Amino acid sequence: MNPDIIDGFTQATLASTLAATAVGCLLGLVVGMIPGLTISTGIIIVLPLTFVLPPDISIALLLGLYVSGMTGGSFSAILLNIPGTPSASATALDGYPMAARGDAGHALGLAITASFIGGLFSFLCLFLIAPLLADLALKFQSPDLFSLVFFGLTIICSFAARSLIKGLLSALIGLMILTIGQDPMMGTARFTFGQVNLIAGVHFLTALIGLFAIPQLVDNLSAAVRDGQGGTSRARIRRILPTLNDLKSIRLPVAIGAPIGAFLGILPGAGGPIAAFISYDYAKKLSRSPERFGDGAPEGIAAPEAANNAVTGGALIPMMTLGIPGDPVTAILIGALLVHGLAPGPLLFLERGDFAYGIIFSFFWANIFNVIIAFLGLRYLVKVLAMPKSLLMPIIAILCVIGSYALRNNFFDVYVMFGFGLLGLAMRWLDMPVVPLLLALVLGRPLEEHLRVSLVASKGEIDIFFTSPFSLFFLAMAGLSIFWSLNAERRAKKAARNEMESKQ
Amino acid sequence: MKTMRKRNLISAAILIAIGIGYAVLAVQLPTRNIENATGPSFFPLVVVTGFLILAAALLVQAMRGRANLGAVPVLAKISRRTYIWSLAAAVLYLVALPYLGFIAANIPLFAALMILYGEKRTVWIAAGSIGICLAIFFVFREVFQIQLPAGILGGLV
Amino acid sequence: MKILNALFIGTAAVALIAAADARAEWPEKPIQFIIPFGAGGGADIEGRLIAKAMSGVLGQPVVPINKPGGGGAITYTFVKNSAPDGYTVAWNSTSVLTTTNIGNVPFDYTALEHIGQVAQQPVPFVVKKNARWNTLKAFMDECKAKPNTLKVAFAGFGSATHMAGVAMTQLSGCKAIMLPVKGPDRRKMILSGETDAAVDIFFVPLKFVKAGKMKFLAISSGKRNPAAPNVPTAKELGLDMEFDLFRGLSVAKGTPQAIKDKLEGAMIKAANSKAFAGRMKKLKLTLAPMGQAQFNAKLAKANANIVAIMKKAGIYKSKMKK
Repeated sequence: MNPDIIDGFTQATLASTLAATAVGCLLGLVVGMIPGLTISTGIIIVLPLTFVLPPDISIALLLGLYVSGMTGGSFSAILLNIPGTPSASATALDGYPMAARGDAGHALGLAITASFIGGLFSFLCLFLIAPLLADLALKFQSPDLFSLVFFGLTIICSFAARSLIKGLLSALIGLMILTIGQDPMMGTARFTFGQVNLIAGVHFLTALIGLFAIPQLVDNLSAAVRDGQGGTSRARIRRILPTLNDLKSIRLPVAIGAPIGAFLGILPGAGGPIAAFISYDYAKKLSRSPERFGDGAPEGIAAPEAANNAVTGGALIPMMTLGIPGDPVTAILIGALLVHGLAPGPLLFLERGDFAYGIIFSFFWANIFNVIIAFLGLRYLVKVLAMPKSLLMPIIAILCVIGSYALRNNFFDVYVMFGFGLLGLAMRWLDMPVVPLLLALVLGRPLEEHLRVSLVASKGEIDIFFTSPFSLFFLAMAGLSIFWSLNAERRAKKAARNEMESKQ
Repeated sequence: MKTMRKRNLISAAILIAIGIGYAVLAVQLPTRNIENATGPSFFPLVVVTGFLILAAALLVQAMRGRANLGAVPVLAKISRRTYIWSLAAAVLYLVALPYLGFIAANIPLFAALMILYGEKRTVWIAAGSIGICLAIFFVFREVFQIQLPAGILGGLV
Repeated sequence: MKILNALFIGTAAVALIAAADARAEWPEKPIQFIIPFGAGGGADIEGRLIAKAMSGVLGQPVVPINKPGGGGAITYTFVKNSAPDGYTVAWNSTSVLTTTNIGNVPFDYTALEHIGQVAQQPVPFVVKKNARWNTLKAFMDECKAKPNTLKVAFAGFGSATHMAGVAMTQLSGCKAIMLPVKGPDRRKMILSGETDAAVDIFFVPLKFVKAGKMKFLAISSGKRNPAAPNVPTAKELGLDMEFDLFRGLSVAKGTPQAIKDKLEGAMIKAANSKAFAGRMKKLKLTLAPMGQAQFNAKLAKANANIVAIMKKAGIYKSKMKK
């Protein structure tokens, strides 16, 4: 057996790492549960810590948050009919009716169980696929990597927006912001306007804090004005642990949800919400009694919950082996690794194999702690839903300022963060997604480097992008994703128009 | 539908202006004569070309009224005055932060935010803002070993 | 009004304490230790170890603060502009010579005063284990015979590995395709055969050399390295160069000599501390503490060398001109 696997397991099972995982899970359940706080917000809260904690511990913390955030979202979806995170939207369809019927505990128990199985399935995928993909990725040369990153960006844009143009524009704005600072090849200062602070460029974590947290603070402002303090559920929670019969009834939906989630997790940009809805649809179609869906069917809770937790392990695969993030959370994980001088990519498995497997096993423990903490602490955790926004939001605002400052101990970054907050609001006003912009800030550097290194190595011939089979394949996939997205958009517009006409 | 069309038109125009400005700057970037190497303006120019094409496409779509899909996004249902005041207060806070430091600047910010988010009890506001800001500052310094500048309170804490 | 009064009194008290500080013996308050790299990286961990050991010697906390960016430009500018009282020190590296000479900042290394060096490592010329060249000469000869065919990867124009790479190739009269590639990608490109050779930092590829996947053809420093005793230095091979990646301390210009001497003493003690020496040994970096006089002589020599290389490569102060 590979000694790195054993080292990795040991690293992930140290008391300090396990404690960090458990704390991450607890935090994840809380932020996932509170409507108006997403997993990204939770990560913004702990971000400053990851700069000072050792890398294995900070990654364990973040993984716990990621996994449990997915599960926590379902609690408020079930109890309040408000999904705590977008990924839990599908869970509300059947979860809330079941809770309204008086079976809240039952619904929550099913959600936790399905999450757990989905998470474990994606752990197996991660454990088995990641090392193989890392091996394959060692063969990729610069042109292949350029095309791969390009494909990653186009597919992120096609999933992110209702309008492909706006998605691509968002990514291109990200790339333009990325070019601020030193040119990676020659070190020429670009677009710095003589500002020393800009030579290092805009750090994407600064951008992330602004883009995600500030619009959310504004969002919660109108919510606070609209309905006063946060809602509390009147639903009684009785029995939580599912029975053997329950487990039997959710066999099929979990078997559908887990692989769909893991697969869509691997594809950059798809993420939890899409995986949850697709597996909900499939579970309904393949069910023997589809008419019960929407009316509190256990299958309707199990399928999306298995899927959104399976997304997490899937998303870690391209993150670790190729350095390509599929959502803001994996982007932050890359950031947390880079802060510690560990670049994710195929060489991580060669140079720091112990660490790579450490991440994989921390993910395993995160799933275990998630289910334990969720079952044991459920009754106390749901009390958090009553926490006043008037305390929560100021705390988040202050942590945003501290987080952006502590990243590089530079006040300038606080201003940059605020600027991104305004940009995030402007983009929301325009219905333009922010995720492509953020991921472009992560992927832009490799995109430019691989493009320019390829051209230097080929002495300026563009052919190399089409002669390498890998590169050709990725470019074809990029074209396909754009074509698919345009097609879907056209159909959606047609449907919208028909609907309008039929109303008239 | 109409509001979204207006928004698309305005933003497409702004984006095109930004793109042109960026392209002008990119062309003027200093470069070095290094053999076999693409210059620093190469990648920015590739990016801005795509950007301008897409911004133009957005403009065309908006003019034909076809870029609209789904509901018009709403930022926050608060009055314009609240918006302007919050923005002004945020800017004031940011300017003052380096001088006042993380405790002295954060306490008024925290109190203001508590009021903004609907807290009305004065005692709660005072206790919450002072207590939490101090707690965060010291937790970061003593537990997490992250030094936050204390500004004018530098000699006291 | 009461609060305002209290504030005034408080501020006045602080000012008084600060004034009293100036007359007391240095150091009377915590020292800022500015690290030009992000938290958690190798250079950062070593900086923190030194800072910790120095606080033990000086009896005041030495607080590490990361100000990464611009190849050190941000840190050096910050320390240059700080008060010359020894309370702000920079954890320097070869970047103090490269980022200044390439023109990232409008000053050169003499705008700061330097306390000394802690450790150094050579820059090796690396190829794949089964590559057809067994000596640097064989590589350079092939490169001379067929210009613009062999590829050499390095970390980016103006970086220390670029300096070493340019020196090794140009002094041998070789014209290679120079590929600027960051971090682990450089090692990956050697393994996948995309580049023929790379100029890299020392200790990471050393693992691959030990694992039988790569080999060193030469190193840039003046002396052979005990971790790879069979690898010849570039100087032995007849190339007129001597080049190290070093780490040490710098302060603002005009810092009193007495304070600099104290810092030097504390730094050398910290470098020889068990924690730091242990890490150097583990990483196979050379622990080579030296004081102001020796380090300034070394810097002058290295600076002249780097200026010469940069002029040859056409990148000297190249940020300045349009």
